[in-house]
Amino acid sequence: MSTIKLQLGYAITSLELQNIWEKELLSLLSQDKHFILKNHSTDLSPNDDAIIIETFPNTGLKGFLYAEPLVWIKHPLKRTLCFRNLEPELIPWIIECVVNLDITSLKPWIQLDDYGESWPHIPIITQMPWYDKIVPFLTNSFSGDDWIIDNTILDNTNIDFIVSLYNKKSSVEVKDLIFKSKLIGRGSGTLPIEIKWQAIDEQLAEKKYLIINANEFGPSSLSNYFLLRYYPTMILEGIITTCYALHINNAIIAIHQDYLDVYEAFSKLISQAKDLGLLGDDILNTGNSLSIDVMLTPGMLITGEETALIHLLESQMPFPTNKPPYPTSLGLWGQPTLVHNVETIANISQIIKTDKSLEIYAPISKQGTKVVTLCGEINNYGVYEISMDISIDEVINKIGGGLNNSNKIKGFHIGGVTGRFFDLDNLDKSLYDLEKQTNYLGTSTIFTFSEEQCIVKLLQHISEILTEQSCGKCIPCLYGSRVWSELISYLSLANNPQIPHFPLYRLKTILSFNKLDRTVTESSLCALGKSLSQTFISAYNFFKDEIEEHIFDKYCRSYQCVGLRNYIIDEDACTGCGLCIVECPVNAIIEKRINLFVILDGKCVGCGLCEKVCKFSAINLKK
Amino acid sequence: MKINITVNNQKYKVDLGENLLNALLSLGYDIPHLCYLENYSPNYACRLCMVEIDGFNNPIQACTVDVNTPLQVYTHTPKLINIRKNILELILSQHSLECNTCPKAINCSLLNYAYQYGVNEIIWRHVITDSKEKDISSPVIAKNINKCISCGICVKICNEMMHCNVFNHAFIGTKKTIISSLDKPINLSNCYYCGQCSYHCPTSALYEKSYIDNVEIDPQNTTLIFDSAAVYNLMSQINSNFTKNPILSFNYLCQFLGFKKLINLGELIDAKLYLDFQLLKDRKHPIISNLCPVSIEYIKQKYPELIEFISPLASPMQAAIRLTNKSNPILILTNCSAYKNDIFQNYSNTEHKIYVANVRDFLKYLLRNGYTLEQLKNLIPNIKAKKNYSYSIGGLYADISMYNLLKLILDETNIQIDKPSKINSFLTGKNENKKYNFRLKNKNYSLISINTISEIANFFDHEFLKTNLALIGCWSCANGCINGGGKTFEIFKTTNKSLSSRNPLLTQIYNINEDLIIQEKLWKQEN
Ligand code: SF4
Ligand code: SF4
Ligand code: SF4
Ligand code: SF4
Ligand code: SF4
Ligand code: SF4
Ligand code: FES
Repeated sequence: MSTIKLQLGYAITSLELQNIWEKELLSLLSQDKHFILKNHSTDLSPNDDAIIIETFPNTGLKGFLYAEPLVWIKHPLKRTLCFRNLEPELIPWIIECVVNLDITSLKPWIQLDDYGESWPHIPIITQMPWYDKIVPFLTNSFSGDDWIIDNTILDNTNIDFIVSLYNKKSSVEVKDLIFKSKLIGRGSGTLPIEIKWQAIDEQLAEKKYLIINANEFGPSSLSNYFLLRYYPTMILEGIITTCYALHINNAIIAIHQDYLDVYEAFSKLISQAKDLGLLGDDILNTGNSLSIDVMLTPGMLITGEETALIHLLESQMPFPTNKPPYPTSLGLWGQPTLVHNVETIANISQIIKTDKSLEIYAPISKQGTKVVTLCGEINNYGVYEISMDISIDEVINKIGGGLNNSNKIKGFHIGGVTGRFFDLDNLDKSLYDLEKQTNYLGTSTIFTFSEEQCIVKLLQHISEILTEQSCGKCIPCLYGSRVWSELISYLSLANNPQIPHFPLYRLKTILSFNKLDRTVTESSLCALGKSLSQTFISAYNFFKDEIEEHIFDKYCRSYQCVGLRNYIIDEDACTGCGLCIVECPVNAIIEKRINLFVILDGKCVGCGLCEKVCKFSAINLKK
Repeated sequence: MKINITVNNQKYKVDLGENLLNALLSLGYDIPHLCYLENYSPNYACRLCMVEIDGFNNPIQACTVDVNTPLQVYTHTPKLINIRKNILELILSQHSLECNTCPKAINCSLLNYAYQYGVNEIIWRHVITDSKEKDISSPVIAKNINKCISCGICVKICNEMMHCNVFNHAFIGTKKTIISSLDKPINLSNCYYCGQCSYHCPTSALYEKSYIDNVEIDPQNTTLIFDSAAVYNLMSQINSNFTKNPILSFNYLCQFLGFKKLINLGELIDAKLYLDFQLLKDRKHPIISNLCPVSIEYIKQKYPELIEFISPLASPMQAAIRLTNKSNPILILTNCSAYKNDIFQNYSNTEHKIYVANVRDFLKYLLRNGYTLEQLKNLIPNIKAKKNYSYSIGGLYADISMYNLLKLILDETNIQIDKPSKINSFLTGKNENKKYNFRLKNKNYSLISINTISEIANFFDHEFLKTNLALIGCWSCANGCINGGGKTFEIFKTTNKSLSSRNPLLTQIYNINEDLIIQEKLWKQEN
């Protein structure tokens, strides 16, 4: 056997897992005498009878969270093989098999359609249902040289781009290109960015700021993290482009405090750029200067509002302020400030760099792509870049691979905590249609849920988060959000012994929804307060029957709402031991006759403790 | 420049750039507001001051609008009334409603608005909020955060008016609250006890402790020390159209109530300034007169190097107490909680029996003892002012005492003033530095009066070094002493609370032109 050179790459989004995984892999490979690890940046010296392995971290398929750890291996003569959910222990063996060109005992996921001989019986990437649904505008494509680009360090392409930007393009040209693209901000506001750009460009101030809002909030939203983690160079280029076009000298990247890795990556990247002379004073002798700071910020929903973020960066309470004045005239430290979402900046970067128009990716809406987090009860959860035109149905079924356990889908929710619910009738609409329909899209998290899920439970979950995130600047939202989450919790609560005349009170509270909605919506300062009740309204519009069942029949079809459950004692099975009576926290069980116990529906809070304690299985959920 | 606005189809002219809420309030419209402070940037937290303006789709908070163009405003449309009522209901749903034992009940804006807007049922009354401990650590200001409605006034006023940063917003969501410096009790913060926050807090979340609620006072052998601001305030409480000489009328009132021994703190302040001026004549550097305890505390904390310039004489309050007979109890009527704190710190361990009351506590005392406001009001007009009874209204504004002093110096020395109008510059009623320079026996003197902490900071940062023989008087509260200074501390009304600078009664007081006699005798007695 003679020397053979293999390439091996991997992408693991969870940093913790990556660290453990990487360590284990390297130690396994270095234990084996056959293998020689080669960092792809160092030169190779010929060595007989060895397998030289070049490793490429952060490369390959990215965002397929369900399939991670994702590993690819390239034999020089064969097509690239991809493996999913791979443990590091298997890798030495896989390498042996690949080198021996015998992979019958392996279960690779897919092979690429790149150069080299095809492996028999292994599906080709182009055959995957998601292949043409995931579009590579911001992200790397699945083939060619793109495959092994590590976007976490500045390479020659990046440097060339920045140099040519400064030397060959005028700021007016950049602006024109962006205006022509008709790009819409990718944060929750849906304004063309042209408006903001023109506004800040008109300002005469010496000092202007660009703030990159990388402070995404959301229990399941990873879209920004995905871009920050895998494509930091693109973000950096976007910042440089924007600052160059608008004569901004200071940029601040406000990073969620949990994304420490991103913080470090950007710090490194910025010092690399400084060393290369691409940042600092008088860049490339063009007289332009730019400094970029990275700041860690606590993740809060309210910082999606630009004025709140600005206050946070000034170390004040993150309270939004009235607009006007807009930050573009009076922002950070009183200077004109442009606030952009991470994805917006990525788009700006790619529009200028690739010279492509957004229409290519979305001929109907002309709005290019959107990075979405696909989550919920879905098989292929992950972060994917999709066209704004693609229907939600395709996203869920082609990319997402349908629901877990082949459950039937009941509906979906888009936009993170401040988003909206939709039913199946909206499945054939695209992201862009929904954005127009609601005028709002938030973080573009697509959350799917099945028939098993109770809509009220989901609503409750969201309302609790919203209540915790109301910034408390304005009184109607501060108090209204608490009432709102109380109201939602009553939907799934039939009895509450702490409150006198609860059934009447419950109904009154729930029916006061309109009043609450009007008050909070009309008098709140920012979009958070204004959208408090929108989630409920969207859910009510599409799942009216189910919600009304909760309200009036005190019935939950999926038996998820504990407070609406009813237990019943099987008279035949009950031996009258009396254990349940002791256990019931609200004294809902009484002795009807000697040795026969019954549960009073009007008192039972559905906790289920009695069911657990009964030794004779006499207590059951009433269905 | 004036601009036309139409309010509910009535036409008015208001100043260009004026705050709309302020304008509406001074035009007499009763717009509910819980978070607005005159002269400070709006908090826009309560959203009660919403009005409808032609050209805007949605109602808009009046406190955030500056009148720069002619506007068509509607203040009480059914829609607005409805929103206001609902907001009040929302606030009350999570408010600890113990109105009957609440220290602010009688002038609580929240309670009054709720009554006015007919909130008689609170649907959402069971939203659970945890109740937190009261902070009663400080001798004068108490905090009961359970009543806080997060209006942000205390934060604004303490930071911007007093430069003291005691209060801050903290946390978000269900934990949102107001904390005093890093969540320490107030007595461990650097609070000056000016009392501005407790005065302006719309609820009883911050309130001033009362010390005479459980005390019965025997007027016959009690010495009453009163500050003129409080007296003026008291008289306008009793009779809102009060136009008489307040001090004189108060003297008669006291006779009726049975108080025999009275000491006017205002006169002592005038005297103190006079004596400080005598000291100045022998000195080579300026003297800062120790009048307002908060400004002196502020100077001590922020400019320790200036301590030696502070007048060595006793403060007027100390002088007043020295004038009393130790065996008799003393009742001090003042609205300044810094004075209250001072007395508490200095005399709580001595054999003096001192009770401090603000006007509200004093009124409570009167009502408790069977007097009625009507009775007291009818009493005053019957009093004929004696021709040559003299009084001082010093202590209301630093300016007035300074004005008195200046007049006295001019009388004593017969200096000719070039521009007679200049002497009145002390009485502009604005929060700014005022200065008068004159020459006496080949020396140049200046009298300087400074109002508000920001002006004090401004002065000591930039101008103090250029000053030599000057007598400097500082007062820290904006628009005159707290709850005094022409501010009617209304006991049964809540509106127009913050409109001091427009109070016609205040203007009137400036015009009183009577002879000034300083009770130097008293002062000399004790020195
Ligand atoms: S609406 Fe809610 S989140 Fe927005 S400023 Fe007001 S309190 Fe804060
Ligand atoms: S489920 Fe059983 S234990 Fe729980 S409240 Fe109902 S009767 Fe009582
Ligand atoms: S602050 Fe006002 S509303 Fe609150 S308890 Fe006191 S009187 Fe009642
Ligand atoms: S008393 Fe004055 S200094 Fe103290 S907290 Fe209140 S406003 Fe601030
Ligand atoms: S303590 Fe009083 S002034 Fe301060 S925020 Fe609360 S209610 Fe407003
Ligand atoms: S200005 Fe008057 S009320 Fe205010 S702290 Fe000074 S003495 Fe007291
Ligand atoms: S007074 Fe205008 S919002 Fe409170």
